[in-house]
Order: sequence, then structure tokens, then C-alpha cells
Amino acid sequence: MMKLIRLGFPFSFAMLLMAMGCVEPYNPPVVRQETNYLVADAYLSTNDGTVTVSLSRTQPLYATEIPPESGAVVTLEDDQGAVYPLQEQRSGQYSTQGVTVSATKKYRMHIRTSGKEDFFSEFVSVKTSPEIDNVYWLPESDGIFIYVDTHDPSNNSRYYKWSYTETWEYTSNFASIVKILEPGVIVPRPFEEYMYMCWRTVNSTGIFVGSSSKLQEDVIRQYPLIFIPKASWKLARKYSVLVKQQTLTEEAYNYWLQLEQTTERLGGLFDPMPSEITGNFYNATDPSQPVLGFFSGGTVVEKRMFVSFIELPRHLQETTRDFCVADSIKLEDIVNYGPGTLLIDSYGSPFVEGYLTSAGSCIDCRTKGGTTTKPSFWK
Amino acid sequence: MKARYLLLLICLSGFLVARAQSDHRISGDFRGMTFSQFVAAVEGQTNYRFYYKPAWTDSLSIQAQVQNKNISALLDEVFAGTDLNYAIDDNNTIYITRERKILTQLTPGFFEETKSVSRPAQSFDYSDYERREKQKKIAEAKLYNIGARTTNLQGNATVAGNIRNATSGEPVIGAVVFVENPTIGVTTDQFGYYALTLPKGRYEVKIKSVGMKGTQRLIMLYASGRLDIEMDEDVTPLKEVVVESDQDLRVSGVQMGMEKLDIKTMKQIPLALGETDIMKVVLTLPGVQSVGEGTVGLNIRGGAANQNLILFNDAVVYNPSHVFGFFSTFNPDVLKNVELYKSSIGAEYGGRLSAVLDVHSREGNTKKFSGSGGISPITGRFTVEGPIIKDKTSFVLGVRSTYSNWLMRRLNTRSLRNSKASFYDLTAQVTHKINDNNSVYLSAYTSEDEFKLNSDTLYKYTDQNASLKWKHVFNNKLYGVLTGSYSQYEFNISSERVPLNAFTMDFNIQQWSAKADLSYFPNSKHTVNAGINSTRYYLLPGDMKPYGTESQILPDKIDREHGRESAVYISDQYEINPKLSLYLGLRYSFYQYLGPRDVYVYGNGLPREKTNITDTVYYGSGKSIADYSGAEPRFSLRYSLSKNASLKLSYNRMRQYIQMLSNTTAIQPTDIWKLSDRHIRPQMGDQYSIGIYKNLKSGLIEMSLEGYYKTLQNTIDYKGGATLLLNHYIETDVLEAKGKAYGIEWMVKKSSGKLNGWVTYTYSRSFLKTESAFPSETVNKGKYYPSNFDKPHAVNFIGNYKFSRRFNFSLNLVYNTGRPITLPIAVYNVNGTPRVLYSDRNQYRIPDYFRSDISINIEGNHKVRKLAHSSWTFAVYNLTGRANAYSVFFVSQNNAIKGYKLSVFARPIPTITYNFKF
Repeated sequence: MMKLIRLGFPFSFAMLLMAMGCVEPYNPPVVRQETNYLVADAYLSTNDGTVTVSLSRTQPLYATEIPPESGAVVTLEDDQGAVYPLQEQRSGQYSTQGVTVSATKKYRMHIRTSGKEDFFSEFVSVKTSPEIDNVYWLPESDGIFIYVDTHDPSNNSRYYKWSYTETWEYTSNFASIVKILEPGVIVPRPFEEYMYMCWRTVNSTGIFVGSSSKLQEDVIRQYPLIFIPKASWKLARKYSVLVKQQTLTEEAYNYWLQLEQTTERLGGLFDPMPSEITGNFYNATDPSQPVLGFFSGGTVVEKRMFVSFIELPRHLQETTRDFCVADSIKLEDIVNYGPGTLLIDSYGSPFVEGYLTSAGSCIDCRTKGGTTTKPSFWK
Repeated sequence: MKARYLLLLICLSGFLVARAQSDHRISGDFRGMTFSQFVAAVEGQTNYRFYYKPAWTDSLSIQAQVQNKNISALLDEVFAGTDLNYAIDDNNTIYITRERKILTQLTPGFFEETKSVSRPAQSFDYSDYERREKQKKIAEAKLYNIGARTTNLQGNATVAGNIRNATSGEPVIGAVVFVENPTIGVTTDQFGYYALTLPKGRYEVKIKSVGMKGTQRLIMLYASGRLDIEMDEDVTPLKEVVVESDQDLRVSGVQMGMEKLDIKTMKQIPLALGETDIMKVVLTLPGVQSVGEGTVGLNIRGGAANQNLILFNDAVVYNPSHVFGFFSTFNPDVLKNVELYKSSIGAEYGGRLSAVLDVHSREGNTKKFSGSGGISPITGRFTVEGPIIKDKTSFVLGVRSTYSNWLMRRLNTRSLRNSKASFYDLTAQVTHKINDNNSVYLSAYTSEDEFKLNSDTLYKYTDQNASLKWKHVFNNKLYGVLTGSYSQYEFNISSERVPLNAFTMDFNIQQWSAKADLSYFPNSKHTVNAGINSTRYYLLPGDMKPYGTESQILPDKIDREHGRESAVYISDQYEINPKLSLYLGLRYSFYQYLGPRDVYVYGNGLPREKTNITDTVYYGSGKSIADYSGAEPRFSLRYSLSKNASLKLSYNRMRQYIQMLSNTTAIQPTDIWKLSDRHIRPQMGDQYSIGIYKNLKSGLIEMSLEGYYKTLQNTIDYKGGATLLLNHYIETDVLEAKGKAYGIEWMVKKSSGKLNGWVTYTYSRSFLKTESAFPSETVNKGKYYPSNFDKPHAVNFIGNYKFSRRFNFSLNLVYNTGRPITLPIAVYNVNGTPRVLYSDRNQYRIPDYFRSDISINIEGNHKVRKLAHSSWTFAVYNLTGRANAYSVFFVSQNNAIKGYKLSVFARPIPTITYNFKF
């Protein structure tokens, strides 16, 4: 709620200016300011008692790789003195399982880097999230908005954070039902090698937080999560989203909100001036050194929703098609093509005169990032 | 009038028969004759026939005695020194006319149709202009006796009065009234009033003002008395050679760091959105900056936007902008002029640190009804004015609105189609002259803005103010003005999309002010001003309420704030000798923050945070929670280096008890105002300035170079991510900062002639610094850092070229260094998504800004008697289409950090405006 009041104005004003004005890529002058701060991103899941911590360092602005912080000793401590060590699973990824989490205890992370510096987080309490009441979509004039509703009858949750995983089903332009086994040998494509239908899965990258702290009851109604424009590939056949919800402490909520404001807003004249956002970690060895990242804990609840193309209102039933043209290969020329050439089907009736082919992206749906394996949850 | 047409007919019929004029010689002594006797005598001697109107000639006493002279020579002698003319046609008929001579010959080619372009009939037409010229000549030649005639011419006497525009009856502000030997002069005040104290005797008093025709009066000053003077507007008639008056106020006045612009100058400057905008014009002056295109907040000499006192007819204006600052709230058609004080601010002004922008509306035509208006692609406006009681009471009423909603619905972009932005404003002023010594002025203003930007949230704000002034002249040397004013600003945010979350939130500030000001002119060397004033503030910092029955919103209201600010002042402008003038002023202000209210007490030696509250103290209604007071000295000095050059120094201290809280780069309509309280102390600023002024080509070109150094104390800064709206612990998010600013401003101005305009260059810096023992309460580790509007280099050029009376071309060039921004310096991963880490605040800059605009103004023809006068303005804003950066931002998109530059007007924006006047 607060979010709407505080941010609605600048955000939409920047949108308006973008619509009127002109946005161009911009690369600022090279900034020569070395920073090498520790970044700790830690979460204690009470669903299964898993603690995951990922450690890395800040990098120059256009660094493509973010190197992990390896070789640290990472432990979870509770306020009763119990210590749970974490193991480095992959480089920079530390975790352990089976922690018995108690809602009455408070927990903190302790990190000792290979450089022998000690980092602690504040003690935090774990929050149990209520179930998601509903994930649903409503049509707009030029797309659909997906919303989430939740409520907590005990009025204890108040601060929420969402993330989601989208999956959508789509097809390539042409279905390939034959393939070249070797030059001159054409066989029917086995069903398991079909590459006409794909499912692509993408995780959310933005920060979505909301609060009911300004309401009498702990209710979140119509929190706008995702906008999908019409004619998007996502809506071409069927779309599904798995929404994950967790409950935050007030501090965690403020951290995510500020992080969202400074890193996702458009930096216009009506946006708050950006500032350094530090989380709840501190450097015990050298307190003047900032540490980035946040440690929090709680349950994660999920809910899935589907939308099919045919459910959309008529004005949104539009699809995008790639520009695809089928080309023919005469029977006598087919010997010149190896298995790398994708064939659609034969042509000619009643006798085969040749085969049709097209660009790989028109035949193989995987070129658009999906897989041909149908997800287990798909219906 | 009738007589004139009659004469016209007669003479026209006379032309039909062409005959050679006979050359009679006349002799005789006509001395002591009346005109009719003279006519009889001449008609007796000759075959001339006279046609005349006895009423015009009966006062004439003939003093002519001639020997063998022709008729022309005789009549020349007879009519010398009168306004009578004669004309003799071929029938030896003599027509006596007043003021104007009859033509007895048709223009050559009158009957040849192809050549009949010289319109002889027009030669008979009296224009108002000519009549006024005549009156002016008479007035200038006449000797005015001031005071009862006496032979005792010992000592001084004061002549005082009002200077008014002869056409509209409006007062002329800032006109210079002076005598040359000895050089003694004064300028008229905001009421057009002047008081000039001189040794008794005979003088030629000269009156000069920008945009007006200079005039003069011969006076014989016997004792103190009154002299009202009317001036003509300087509408340059065709083919007249204009000799501009010596406008040397810039050099000879004590005032420095002051700019005055009248609406005529402002109307020539190219416009972005089809309308003259005084805020945009002020932005072209040296030392005035803004953070970006389309923002109305003026940053004057390194001060924040809320540190400017903006007055509209003496009432404070809280938000001078419509539509985020793309328009200013002032309707150009009702405005008279704008005065900007950047330094040497008079002791009568107070309450803001940086500058004073004093906007005056016109008082309305006291002689006849007239109207004006304009239509541009986005707005329409209409103004009507006229007398209620002729020469006594007049009014102006202006209205302006936009049809942007209609336009937006037609746009093809979803975000625009779902948006709404509209505004209107109304300005009214009534002036009533009770008698020579008492006048009353009533002014009122109201505006409303409403916008919804591709969202469900509706924003509304209204700005209202009113003032009532009573001016009383006690005697020639003393007058007083009693002013009451009221200002209110209010905004509302509401959302109804989700009934459960539907809310409405209000902010409101009101101020009631009363003041009494006295102006005293003891003698020609001193001008003393003194006054007292008091302002009561009522502020509702935020009140959120549920909207509708389903809404679950919890009501949340921040306690109202109350404050009282009072001040007394006295100042004296003292001309020690013609070379040296001084201005000494002292203002003492006193402020109280009043209950009822709960006040939090924070632990000593602890950072000011919610967790460190040790106590809450309740103060009852009207109880003083915090008192602040202090002196505000003002000083300036002018030393004449030569007749055309001077050196000036000034120092002033200002205090500010109310501030706007805004942690965005540009101010926005939903920024709240906050009174100084126990935790947020009043701001204080000191400014030292020095300037050299020189006029070249007898004042045609004015040059100035000014430098200043300014320090600010207890100014406002913000913690990173501060929440300002509905924050019950606002003091925990606001930081106290020190500021410093310095700069040099250079300006060359040519205010008249075919080519006029100005060029300015400014070098200026502005810094802030937070000081606290706690790292959480400092910005950039407590070091000085550039403020948001620190733009070191700025160059402005404004030029107008008049090709002809009807065709005017203007060019506007703007260059400045890009404003400071906070850039990301590093990237890091959270939840698998890259995020950016920002540098210390304002350590980098956006690219430099450059823009050029042109406009062409085409006036309709200048026939005097036309139903309506119209003009067209074609303008192109950002002619070169340079994509100036409005902002630079970085977002994480698809697992990468991308930088973007946003330009608002990245293309040339043409506009066309139609203006009319009747």
C-alpha cells in the first residue's frame, strides 16, 4: 500500500516522459573507483530447514562475470548458542539442510572469509507466510495483468515479498516429421525427437514487495505482479506462472523496497536520489567496510496459475509469427544434404517429388530458449 | 467632429473647379482686432473668403501690422503660437481649422485609379496618438506651479504624485523622476508613486521609464504639492526616430543583483509550449538555474528551489507550476512585471534564504474595456479588463486552461491514453482609487491541477492566494500601505482501483499575513522604509483516510503544525553625495512553533532514530514549543566611478522558518512543507556580493559583472532512502547541512533598438555538507559535495530582431554544464540478479546541455480602428533537436546492467500560437 503512495507518482511520471521523450543507451564515463565489498545473500527456509548462502564480491560496472567468494567458513547460529555449519556446495554457494527451525528463536549468519575477516548478520526471527489466496489475471486494453491476493487472519504477516517462475508453451512455425539420417537416407522423425512444441521457463528477476501495514486487516488485494503484452510469445498457446510468497520482517521489507527503488527505478528527476543500500550484515573486523546483502528466514508458499490463448478476450487474441518461408529441395538434390539440414515433410502427390525445408529457427522451437520436455506440472 | 466633416465636404467640392490663385497684397494695422473684425477687414481689401468657426477663434486677439504682404505671411503672423491653421484654395477661399491643416489639393494621381494608393482621406484622420502627442507637448510646455505662489524661495519642498500610463491609467513602476541641475532623482514605487524633495525654485523635471516615452514637466516649486503625470507607451510610430531615454538605474541605483522584466520583454522570448512563461524567462538570467527541462524550481545563486520567496501581488505562492513545471502558474496576459532580487534584498522582504521573485499583475485599464487572449496547441487563455468606475475603479480578470486531456485521449500510446493532466487558473484584480490619497487593491488567484499517469492514482493540487492592500498618503513625504494576504496550497492523492485499498490523502498549508509598511521621504538624500508584519501558519502535514465502505485503509494523520513568524524592519537609502549612496536595513524576525502537539525527545548523544526516543512531551494549544529569533542586517553601497560606471557592494542575511522537504532531484507537487520545529532549526544564509556596472553608448548597452559568496546554515539534507510523506518521525530522516555557494555573473544587455536582447555567462558552484558524529547522519562521509543544481558554466543568449513593425524574430541559446548525478560504481548479485552499487552522492555529471529556440512573431496590420488586433507566433523549441539528457539511469535487465539516457524534448518542437487583443 505504502508503495503505491510513495512511488506511484514518480514511477508513472517517468513512464510518461519516456512515452513522450526519447530513451537512448548511455554509457557513462569510466568510473575509476575500486570497490571490493562482500555480498552475502542468505535465506533460511523453514519449509525444510535449508540454509542457503551465496557469497560474492562487488565488481566493476560492466563486469560480465561475478566471481564467487570461495573458501569461507559459514555458520548459522541461533540465539541459544547452537551452531550449524554450512558446506560449500559449489564455488561461493554454501548450504546445509535439516536445521530444526523454531519460530521462537532468532538466527544469524557468521561468515569468516578466507581473508580471515569476520562478518555477522543481525539476529532475525523467521516468519511464517500465510497461503496465497489467489493468483489470477485480468485483461487490459493491450495485455493482461497477473495479480496476487493473500491475507493473514492473525494479522502478523504484514510485509510480503513475491517471486515467480513463468513457463509457457509455444511451437515453431513448421513441424518437422522427417529427418535426414545420413545423406540420401530420409526417415520419419521419432516422436521423442519432435521439436515443434517447447516449454520455456524463466525466473523473475525483479523485486516485488508489498505491505498491508496501512490497512486495518492483514490483506493484500490485487497486487500487480506481471504484465504480459498482447501478442507476446508467452500467450501464444498456454502460459503458467508459479508464484512464491514469503513474509518479511519490517527491516527486510524496507531493505528490499529500497533496493528496488534504487536499482529498478528510472532515475528521473522525480525519483528519490539513489544511495548506497546496505543490508543487515556488518564487518566485525573492520566496521568501516560496508557489506551488502541480507539475511532473512521463513516459509515459502507457492501457487500456480494457467492461462490459455483461447481464454483471452477477443481483442487480446493476437499472435506474433516469425517470418518463415518453406523452401523445396528436389528429390535428386537431397543427397547433397546431411543430417544438419532440417526437413519439414515431403511434397508431391501421389509420388514424392522432394522435401521442404526452412530456417532452423522456423523448425526447431528450442532456438527460442525452451525445451521439448513437457514439464511435469503441465496440464 | 461634425465641423470637421463639413469642412471636408466644402473643400472637396471646392476642388472641382480649378483656378489659379490670385496673389493679393495686403496692408494694414490689425492690432487689437478680434478675429471677426480682422476677417471683415481682410475680406474688404481682397476677394478672399474666410470659413471659420467663431468658437475656435473668438479668444484670439490680433497683434499683426503688415505692409504689402501676401495673405500667407499675414495669416502666419496671426496664427503664430496658436493651434489654428489655415488653408487657401484656388477659389481664394480660406479655411481656418484647428490643429490640422486642410489639404486644398488632391494628391497627384488621385483620379488615376492605378495610383490611388496614398489615401488622402487618411491625412484628415486624427489618431489618438496624435492627439496625445499634442497634449503631451502642451503639458510639457506649460509651467506648473506647485504650492501657493510666494516670493519666499528658501528651503526645500517636496513634489509628489503618481505616474500613470496615459492609455490604460495603470501606474508606471520604476520610472525615474529627476532633475538635472543639481542631479536629484527618485524612482516610482510599486504604486507608481514618487516623492521628490528639491530646493524651492524652477525645474525641468524629467520622467523616464523603460517601454514608455520620456516626458518632462516645467515646475515652479513654491511649496510642497502634488503633480500627477501621465506617460505614453512607447509604441514606436512609423518613421519616427526613437531616441531612447538614458535608463541608467543599473549604474546609478544602490540596488544590485536585481533584474526587472516587463511582460513585453518576456513575450518576445521563444516559447516551448506556445505560451509566455515568466519562470522560463527568469531562467535565462544569470545566476538562475534549474535541475532540468520542464522543472519549475528555480535555483538562484546556489539556493534550493524552496529558498525563493515568490510573491504574487504580495501573497506568497507555494507552487508556481502547472503540470510538473512545464507551465508556470502565472497567466502572461494579466502580468505586468517581475522583479528578481538575487542580492541586496530589501529589509521589507524576509522568510526565504535565496532570492525574491516579486510578480505583479496589471491593474486593468481605467479608461476603456479591452480584452486579450491566445490559443496554443495545449492551452487557451482569455483576459478581460476595464473600468468599473471610469478613472477610479478598474479590474482585470484572466482565465487559462488546457485541453491536454482531449489531446491525450487521441494519442496512440497506452501510457498516455490512460493518463490525464489538466489545469486551470483564474486571476482577478480590482483597483479602486478612493481619492488622491487613498487607494485600495484587491487581488485573488486560484488554480487547480489534476493528473493521473498511467496508473490508478489521481493527483490533485490547488494553489490559492489573495491580498488586499490599502495605500494611504499622509502627506507628500509619507505614505503607508496596509496589506492583508492569504495563501494556501493543498494536494490530494487518491486511488480507487482496488476498493479494499482505496484511500485519499491530503496535505494542506495555509498562511495568513498582515503587514504595515511606511515609506518616508524626509529630503532628497534619504528614503526611509519601515514596517511590521506577522504571519500565522497552519499546516496539515498528511492525512490519509480510507475511501469507500470496503476500504481497509487505516486512517493515518500527522498532527497539525502551527507557527507564527513576525518581523519588524527599518531601512534608509542615503545618498551621501552624488558619488556615494548607501542602503542600510535591519530586519528582526521572531518565530514560534506552536502547540498543540506531541514532541519526541531523543536521547542525548545518540543518533536521532526512532529507537532512541526517550520521552514524548505534549504541548497544549497555543503553547510555544520552540522559539527562534534573530537580526537580519542588509547593507549595500554604490560608488560612482564615472557618469557611466559604478561599483557596488552588498551584504545580506536572511532567515527561513518554513521549508519544503523533497529528496527527489526536482521538486514535485507532492512535496510537503515543514515548519521549523525543535529538531529542525531555521535556516540562515549570508551573502556577500560585489559588482561593477557600466553603460556604453549612453545607456544603450548595459554591462555588469557581479560576484558573490554565500554561506548557508541549518539547511536541509536527507538520509538515503528517506521517507517524507506520512512520516511521524520526520526528523529522523532529515539531516542538518551547511552550504556554500559562490559565483561570477557577467551580463551584457541591449534593451532597445531593432536588435535587442542579452548575453550572460555565469560561473557558479554550490555545495552541501552534513556534520554529525554518527555515520548514519552524514552524506558522503561529512564532506562538502555538489548540490543537485551545481552547474558551473552557464551561457545564455536572448536576441530579438525587429525586421519591421509587424515582423519580429527571436533567438534563444542556452548552454550549461550537466547537473551532478550519482552514478553506479559497481555491480553485485542478489538472488541471481545483478544490482548496482551507487557512488557517493553527486560525484558525476550528466552530459552538458545545449538548446536553441527560435520564434517569429507576426502582427496583424496596425490600423487603429480595428475590431481586434491579432498576432501569430511560430516557434521552434530545440531547433537542433539535440537529445539533451534529462536523466541518466541504470536498470538490471535480463541479468545485465544497462545504462540509459532520457531526453524529454529530443526533437525540434514546433508550436503555433494565435493571440488576440481588442
